[in-house]
Amino acid sequence: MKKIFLNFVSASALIITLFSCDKVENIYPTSTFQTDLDTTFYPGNWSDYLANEVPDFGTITASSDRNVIIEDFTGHNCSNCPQAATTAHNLHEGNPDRVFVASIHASPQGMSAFQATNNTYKTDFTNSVGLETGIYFGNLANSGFAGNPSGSVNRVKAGTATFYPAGAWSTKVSEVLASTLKVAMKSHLNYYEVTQGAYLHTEVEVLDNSLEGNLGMIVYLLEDSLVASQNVSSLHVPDYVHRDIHRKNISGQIWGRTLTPEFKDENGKYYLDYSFAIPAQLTADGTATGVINAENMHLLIYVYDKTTHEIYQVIKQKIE
Amino acid sequence: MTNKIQITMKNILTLVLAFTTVFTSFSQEDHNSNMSVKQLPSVVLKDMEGNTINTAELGFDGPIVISFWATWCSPCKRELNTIHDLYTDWQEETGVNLVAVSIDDEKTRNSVPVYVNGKGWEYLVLMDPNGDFKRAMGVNNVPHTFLIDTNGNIVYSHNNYAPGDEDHLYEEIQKLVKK
Amino acid sequence: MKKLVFLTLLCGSTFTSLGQLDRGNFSGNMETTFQYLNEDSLIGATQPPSKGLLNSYMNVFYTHGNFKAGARFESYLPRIQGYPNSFDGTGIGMRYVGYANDFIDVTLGNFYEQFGSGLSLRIYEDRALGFDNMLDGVKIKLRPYKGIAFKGVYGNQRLAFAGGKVVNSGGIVRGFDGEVHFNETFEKLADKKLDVTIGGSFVSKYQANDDPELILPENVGVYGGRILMRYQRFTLEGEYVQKGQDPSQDNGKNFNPGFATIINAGYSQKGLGILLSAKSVDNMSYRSDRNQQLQNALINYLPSMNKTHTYNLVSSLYPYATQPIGEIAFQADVLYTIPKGTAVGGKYGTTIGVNYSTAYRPMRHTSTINPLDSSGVTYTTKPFDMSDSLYWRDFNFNISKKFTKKFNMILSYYNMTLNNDVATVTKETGDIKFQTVVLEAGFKFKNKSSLRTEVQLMFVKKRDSLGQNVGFFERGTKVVDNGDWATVVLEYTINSNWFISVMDQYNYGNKDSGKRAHHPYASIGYIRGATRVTANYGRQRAGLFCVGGICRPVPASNGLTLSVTHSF
Repeated sequence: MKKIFLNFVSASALIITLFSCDKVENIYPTSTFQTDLDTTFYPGNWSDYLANEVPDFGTITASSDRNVIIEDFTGHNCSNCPQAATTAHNLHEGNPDRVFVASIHASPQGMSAFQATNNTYKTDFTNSVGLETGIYFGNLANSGFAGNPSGSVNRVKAGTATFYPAGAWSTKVSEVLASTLKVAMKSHLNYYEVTQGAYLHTEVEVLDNSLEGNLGMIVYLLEDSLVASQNVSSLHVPDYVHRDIHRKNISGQIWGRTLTPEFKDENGKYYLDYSFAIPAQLTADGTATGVINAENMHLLIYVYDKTTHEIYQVIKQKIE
Repeated sequence: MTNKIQITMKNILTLVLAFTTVFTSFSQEDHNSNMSVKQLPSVVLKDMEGNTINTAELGFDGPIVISFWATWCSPCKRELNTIHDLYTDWQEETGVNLVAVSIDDEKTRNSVPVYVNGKGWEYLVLMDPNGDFKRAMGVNNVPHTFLIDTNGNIVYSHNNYAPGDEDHLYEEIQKLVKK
Repeated sequence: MKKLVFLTLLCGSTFTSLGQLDRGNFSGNMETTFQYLNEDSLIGATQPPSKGLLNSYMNVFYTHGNFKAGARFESYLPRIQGYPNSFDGTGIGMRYVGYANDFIDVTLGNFYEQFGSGLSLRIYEDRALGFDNMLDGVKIKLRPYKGIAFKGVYGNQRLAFAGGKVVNSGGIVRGFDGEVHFNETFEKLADKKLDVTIGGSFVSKYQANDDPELILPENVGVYGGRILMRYQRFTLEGEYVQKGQDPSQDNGKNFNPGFATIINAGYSQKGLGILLSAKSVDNMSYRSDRNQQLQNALINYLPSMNKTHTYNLVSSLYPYATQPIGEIAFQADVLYTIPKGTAVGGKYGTTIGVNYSTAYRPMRHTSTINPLDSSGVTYTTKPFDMSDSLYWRDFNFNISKKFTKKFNMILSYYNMTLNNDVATVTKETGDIKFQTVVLEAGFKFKNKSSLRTEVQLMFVKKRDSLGQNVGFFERGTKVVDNGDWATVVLEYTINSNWFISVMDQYNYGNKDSGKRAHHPYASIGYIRGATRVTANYGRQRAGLFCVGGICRPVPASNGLTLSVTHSF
């Protein structure tokens, strides 16, 4: 018994020494975000844009109420998901200016049978950032994200879980709507149909100073609606209306951009600008060539806490 | 709600108190039990015919082999089928009895009599569908075989089955009988 | 406080005077599994950021006369690959105290229990599956007279293990069960040929209404009865349970009642066993938290009605999981041993087993339903009211023969159909039809070592351009899912203490020639008494791990798994 025990201990010691070393070559993490705006989206001289088109946020008032974003993690081949989508949509209809929905097609393992495409369910609703987010929360212990449908309201925790079933969303929505606003946001968008490009300008004012230094911003690009196949209670419905489909993050990465002092001006407010091209719409038969239709797209911009993931404020920006 | 819990806690405390008092009065009588050997726990199970049987009162003279198995466990079936061929000889020579405890849950429980009778086993088969006896005996996975002496002490415990293990088991049974 | 002081004084004096007295029994077990995983892009295996994963448990049980107590310590740092993500941290996962004698058995704390066949209540744990729905409260069992048993349970249900602490679901579960075995209770009936047991149970759960739009029932009950009859070689048993309105995430917040019924008929004599079963279930998903899904907060147990297969291709690629919303299923199982000494039977006898199981979608009648009324009922159905929609079909047989003392063989054949739209296990649509052949042979050698080998071949039916299943070997047809597989297993037992085994699964039928991967997997084990140490290394394909009809997807992995188990 002793011999076996010693063997086991030495074997495990060997393994521990083998895997406990991560060698880091470059100590600074590389940023993949292009801080420079793509000037080609403006059909004209860039200097004209800077002179005339950049918005004056003084003329816009920020909302003083905290808005809600319901992130519904779903799949087109997931038979229980339509109920959750209906719950989210009803909550939005009940308060359309303050409650927003984002449908992210991802499972705790990223792409699963619920999101995969086949002969019946042809459209690929997934994108790499959505799948990565699903995998992150799927791996995070006790996140509550175990399958589809599941979702979060402003990533506010219920007990220890960030994700909860649709039945729990309504209480959380009421809770968030009644809470005090800690971060005020404004946004302005310049869209140019001829180049199918747009510039997004945002202003963030942190009302609660204790949050400073630990905030990030994410911009979701969502497609308003698409009529395509959906598995509803194990039956195939070909003309189901999919809403608020998450297409990409404008900042490109899963965790968006951090609100660092370089974005602050003398008033203490943050100004973050983005440029992006409008992507083609999704199609019901899954073919790659969809039409570019900016009217069927909108943005949800939110500021969140980098430690707890809680979303302090979200605003909607239409593309027009 | 807390009052109810307090009352139950008080009751448990009184119960424990009562037993320690009982033990003090009987303390002079029992000197024989061996402190380091485990005793067979008492769990109420049913046999294949639905009769209730208490594991601590199996009613056998002689040593008892308790083998945990399931219809979905191939090594368990191999072990019990191998012993089945030798069982008559074993019983004649040592008077041992084998109790095959099936941990099949409701999904496969009904296949137990089909298998046991289909194979013609002559063991006492007990049903443990919710794992109560398995838990009490500290079994991790099946097959797991124990040998119990006539005083209810567990003298041998072996996990897994490799062809030839039945010979080791028989050696242990013979040791008990020779004593 | 006064009582505690008195107690300790008494205990102290008791122990000094006990001397030689039996100090009670300690027993328990421990299990530790450690994984070190590598990245493997060919099969889609990822390396976790912590590189190493660990699950560890130890149960300690103490009994002293009629007093019992126990606890379980669990540790997930973090949990091993494929384990559900509601386990994290180190702490006490279970603890209880109790007292049991011939008349009463009471447990306070965490406990497990089952009423009848579990259709109304089954509280159990399956560590390999990561399933544990134990109740935290009180359990009382009474046996007032021989053959009569009463059980009562009351408690909160475990939902997750977060940061080393048990997290309970929001509901309260309570239940009561009674059973009478007439032939044991009444002496006059003891020798009668007809043996009858009847039982009944009532289970109820409470969860506060959290829905702003609808009035949801807060107390939902399940009640039912069962009967078991035995007459010489025949047995007949049946159980029926009925559930009240239980709108939940599982059934789309409908207010339908639910029912489940299981009937088993059997015949057995020495050398032959026959079983016929039928099951009809509708809307019987019963949880202590109506918003939970998958394997969380389940109160009852609805097993799938099919045979549990052990060979790896058959059991983990396309298994059938219970459909909690409803299904109608049938199974027939026969085992016959051709007696030894006959021509076909050979020296040791030959065993033949045949099994057939199938499941269908129940009919849902909506003609009498007005969706706009306020009843919330969305359909009507009756027990065994079948539709034509097939969920599952499985026909299999096996022949097992021991040729000599040193050589035996088992031949098995499986023909299965799985409706993947309903019991989704993979990315295909429609029915997946597949056939599997397995040949297993065992050899014993002079030096006490032995070798066991398996060859498994699985053929998945291909489809034509219209999506219809055609044959297995046609050309120009579409390969369904990953196509055909072959597995070879060699297990060499060196002696009573050591074994090594090698397995290779080869996906030779994959439509993408780059993905036709071998999945080699090697294991070494050492067993001594009640201790077992195993080390496995290799590539494991993604699959499903099912126990009793509850399936958990296990992702592909490549790496080392070390496991130590011990019982004491």
